[in-house]
Amino acid sequence: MQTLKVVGSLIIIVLAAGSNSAALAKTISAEQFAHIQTQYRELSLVDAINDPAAYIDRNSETSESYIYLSSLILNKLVLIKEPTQIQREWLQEQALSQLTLSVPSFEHTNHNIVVTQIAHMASMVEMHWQAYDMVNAFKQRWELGIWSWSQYFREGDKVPQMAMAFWLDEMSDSGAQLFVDSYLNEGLKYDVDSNRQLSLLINKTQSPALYKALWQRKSDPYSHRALRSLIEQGEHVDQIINAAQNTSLSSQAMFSLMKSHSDRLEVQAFVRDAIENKSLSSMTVATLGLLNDGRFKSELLTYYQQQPSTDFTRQVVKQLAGESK
Amino acid sequence: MRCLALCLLLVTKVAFAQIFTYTELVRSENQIPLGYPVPIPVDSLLPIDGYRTYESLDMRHQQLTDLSSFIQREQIGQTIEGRPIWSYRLSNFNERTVSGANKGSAVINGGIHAREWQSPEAVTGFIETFFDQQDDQYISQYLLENMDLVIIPVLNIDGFIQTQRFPDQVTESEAIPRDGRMRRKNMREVDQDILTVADNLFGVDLNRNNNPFFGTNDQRSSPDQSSIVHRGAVASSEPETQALQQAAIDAGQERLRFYMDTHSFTQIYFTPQTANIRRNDITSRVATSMRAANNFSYDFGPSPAGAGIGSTDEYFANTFSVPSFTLEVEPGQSGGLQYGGFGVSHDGFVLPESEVARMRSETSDATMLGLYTLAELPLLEQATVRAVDSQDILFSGRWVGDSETTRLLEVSNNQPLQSGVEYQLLLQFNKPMRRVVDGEVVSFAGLSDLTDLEVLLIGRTTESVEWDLQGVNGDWTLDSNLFERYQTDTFVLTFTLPNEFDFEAHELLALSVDTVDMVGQSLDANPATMSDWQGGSWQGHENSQGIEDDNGGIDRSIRLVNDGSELFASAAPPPPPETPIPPPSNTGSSGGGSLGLWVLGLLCVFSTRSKALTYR
Repeated sequence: MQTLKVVGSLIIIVLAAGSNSAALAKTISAEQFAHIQTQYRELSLVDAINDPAAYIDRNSETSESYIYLSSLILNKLVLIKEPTQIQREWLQEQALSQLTLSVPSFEHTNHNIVVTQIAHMASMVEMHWQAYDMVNAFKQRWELGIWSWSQYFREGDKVPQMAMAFWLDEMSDSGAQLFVDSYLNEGLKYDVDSNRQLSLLINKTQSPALYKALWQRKSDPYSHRALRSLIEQGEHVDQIINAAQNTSLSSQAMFSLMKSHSDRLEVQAFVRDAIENKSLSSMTVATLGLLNDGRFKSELLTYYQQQPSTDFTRQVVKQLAGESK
Repeated sequence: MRCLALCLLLVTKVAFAQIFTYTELVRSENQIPLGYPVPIPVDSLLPIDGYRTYESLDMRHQQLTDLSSFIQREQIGQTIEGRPIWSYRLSNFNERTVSGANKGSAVINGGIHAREWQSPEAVTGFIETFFDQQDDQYISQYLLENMDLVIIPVLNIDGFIQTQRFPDQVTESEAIPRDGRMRRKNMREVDQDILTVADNLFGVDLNRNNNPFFGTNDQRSSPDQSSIVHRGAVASSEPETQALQQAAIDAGQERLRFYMDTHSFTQIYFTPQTANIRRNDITSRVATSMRAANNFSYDFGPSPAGAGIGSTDEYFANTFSVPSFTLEVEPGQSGGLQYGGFGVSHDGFVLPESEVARMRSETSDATMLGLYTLAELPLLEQATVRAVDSQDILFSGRWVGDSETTRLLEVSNNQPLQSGVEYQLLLQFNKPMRRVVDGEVVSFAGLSDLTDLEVLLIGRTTESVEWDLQGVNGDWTLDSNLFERYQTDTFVLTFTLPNEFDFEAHELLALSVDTVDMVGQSLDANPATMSDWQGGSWQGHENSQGIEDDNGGIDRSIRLVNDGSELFASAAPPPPPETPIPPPSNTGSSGGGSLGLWVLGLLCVFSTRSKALTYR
């Protein structure tokens, strides 16, 4: 144990000196790394998070295990909502650390895969802690009636966005509804960069008014995310039909309507219109093979077989009959 | 007893089974926070800001095939789990290029490693770009008319679907995650449940399953079934590997001149070198073209000849002697940090959805330029001189194919030029020659410049003469009334000859055109012999001295006054072979034979003057 302490102390000395970054970037074989993982896998780390530095000194046998153990502790600390002074100080040290653990890349001769980079992990923890603090500030502003959407969107930073997500997690349903009303009345006009906020609020409340606002905006990854979530609920077919009017979302919506809801009359009416609609036709025709309602499918097939033969009707028939080239 | 031990082992292993979940932020134990939303594939035919499910990608490919006359779909094999593996051939299905040469082919592979989601999107985006721009009168149309492309959007379909089945879950550890979203290999002897740890590390790495270096490197490929780089039992043991080889056959192995396997990440073009130095040099040139497309934000990583790991790029480089790449799509080595992520291990495989559309576009652009480099070398096909006032054509010389390997110069309207008269010269090439961005002709990354063109009239009166037509005053035209087939395939120059110019005094008068194509390749100095790709280098492509090489030179082949002299002053001996590859078999495209044909052609067309002439 005495030896371990010496090794730990030596590492800390190297850290403090901030010297020789090459020595701080350790590369070990994947097998060695797996061994270290196994060694520490079952540790509860309850003691560790109270005083990380002391714990690591006691329990790390090598510089590699020192780095790995630090990363495990950081993974625990990120969940601490109210960190102690000791934890904060230790985190500050880690944020300056150059410790990196890599394994050789099997792709490329001279490359390594970084498996743990302590400074980055510390930064991640720090951002979470800042976000937890900010949640309290957000709550206070809201409760005092001084919440400002323009200020929130102006900040546009990662931490406020994280704080918003955490705040919504703990918001009650009734509180969230008031917040949505505030967003729709005040916030929406300042929300110009992305659909992130809309998507977060939709995830929390499923408010139809939010969906309506979302479908009318330029789509981005958050729009697709919200629509996917809506589709997974298997309800709100009217909302999915609305989403299909947004060109960028139309195909995603159409997949769902065809695969899961084509037995519904309103969906059948929509599909009939979409086949003939210039902007939706190509994409609708290409997905006709997905129609899950056999009766509707054969009705459509019969109808188009009876129409004068054109490239378009032949294509529709091919898709319905499953005869693509 | 053995049964008991096995049961114990299984129980123990099950006890170790652990699932880690990718999240944007940390909310509980065993989460891996990316710092950006975790991409989840959606069903969509349309290219979106994000990733599409395999089902919708497959339907998209089918849709594009149905809607276009230049895409054909072929089944090239089936996966371990019995799914059909498709290739898409993009071509106008003519055997020859527009300029009459043998048409080359290329194979582009995607989705060999399941977790590298950038790849199927990049390759599908490439097909979509061709579909959208098939009539662009520029690079897309040029490639469709002058090359055959065989594209496999997803090779390891089973593995890809497995990653999409668990888009945010992995096993083993947060630092070196495996299976689920981080499955790399195919699904040999693997079930679809990531909790059954007895098999969830199995599968074969399809990029270690290839000749000629199968099983030669135990550090970077492994016989261990659980290794992430398990190479399989024997070379080409996997049906997916065999399907890729089938794609090469479908592409016409003898016509193949490009291969790329699309991976992620680290933002680099890897390439295996071989003993063929000329092939290696051309490969570097192609890499430069592709890297230039994105301001050299991608690195280049050639690996030494004679060794390897069993990858597909080695197979194509060594089997077919073609430039062969492993493209590692973005991000770079810093992974998700590049996009404001937290920098967790392996996040480079998880490109944020917000970056996908841009990535598709940038990789398509780069690959197009790589193919452009190899589709054809640049060639001056036609020169026309018009009087500006009357628009009468005073001279036209055009190289026309007269056999599978040679061209003949056809000259018409050969009237004397006069001093003091304003003429318009149109030089028409076989390909788009300059970069066009947002409707403007621009220089391209140091490879080609707007002013990279020198055009002279050279010849002989009582002495050697040279009239500089001031190429700097001309334009690479975007005017569809002036270009022949593609934007910038024609250079338009207005010129006036000085008072001392006397057409009748010339025994010989020829155009001398010195320029490069968009990626900096010089002209074929002897258009009479068609350039072709054979044995890992260009054949029938001559430099300014008339010697075959891969570099080209100045075109002086179009003569307004012809004295019947040889195009090249003296037939310099060919350089000693740099590599052990056998000499090209196409005798029609080499040295004296082709020159003889060329001269014969000239004699048929021109009224000749027989004085010998030495070019400068």
